[in-house]
Amino acid sequence: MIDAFMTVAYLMVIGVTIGAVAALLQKDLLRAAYISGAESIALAFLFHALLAPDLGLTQAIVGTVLMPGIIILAILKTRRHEESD
Amino acid sequence: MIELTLQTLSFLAAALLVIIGMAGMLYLDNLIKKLIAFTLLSDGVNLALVSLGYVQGGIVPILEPGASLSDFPNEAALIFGPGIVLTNIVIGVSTTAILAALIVILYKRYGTLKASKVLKGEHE
Repeated sequence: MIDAFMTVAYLMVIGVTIGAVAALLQKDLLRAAYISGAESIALAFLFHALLAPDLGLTQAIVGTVLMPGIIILAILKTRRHEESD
Repeated sequence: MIELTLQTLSFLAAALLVIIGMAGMLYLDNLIKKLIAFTLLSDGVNLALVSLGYVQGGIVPILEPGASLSDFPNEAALIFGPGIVLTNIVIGVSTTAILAALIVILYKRYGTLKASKVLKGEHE
């Protein structure tokens, strides 16, 4: 029998790495901040699957709201798009 | 042949996150990209420490009423790694905030987000 919870956990392992690469490949810094938040949600689910649900809750709040929020505030104070030259 | 359990795959993902984060911090030129790479590096270290404590087929280390006391030490996941990681997550937020503030100060002084121009000291 295939356990649905563990299947999603295996998918989240892939999602974490793909999200990390995708966040650093963006030219739009605002979109990079959003994608790093999405990677953080996948990491929170992975913490839950690795038998540490307290860390999952903390990572879900901190990594999805606070980290991208701080980065977005820094982007709003500076500039949104990466300089090309 | 290494069996591909969740713990092994998590170690691999943690190693990839650390490599991606370090490469991003070293080779990307944009300061905010460096900040995002730093958070990825921190996530990778957290994931490595948490997957150290994983026990295959184990339970969450909370002793509930009615649970068997003799099976608990064999089944429960280790508590030390997650205890440290909880501190590291919170410290990571404050480190990110300080780095973001420093980036804003650098931008106000040099008018650019490129690390190569900031290191050369070009005023706008």
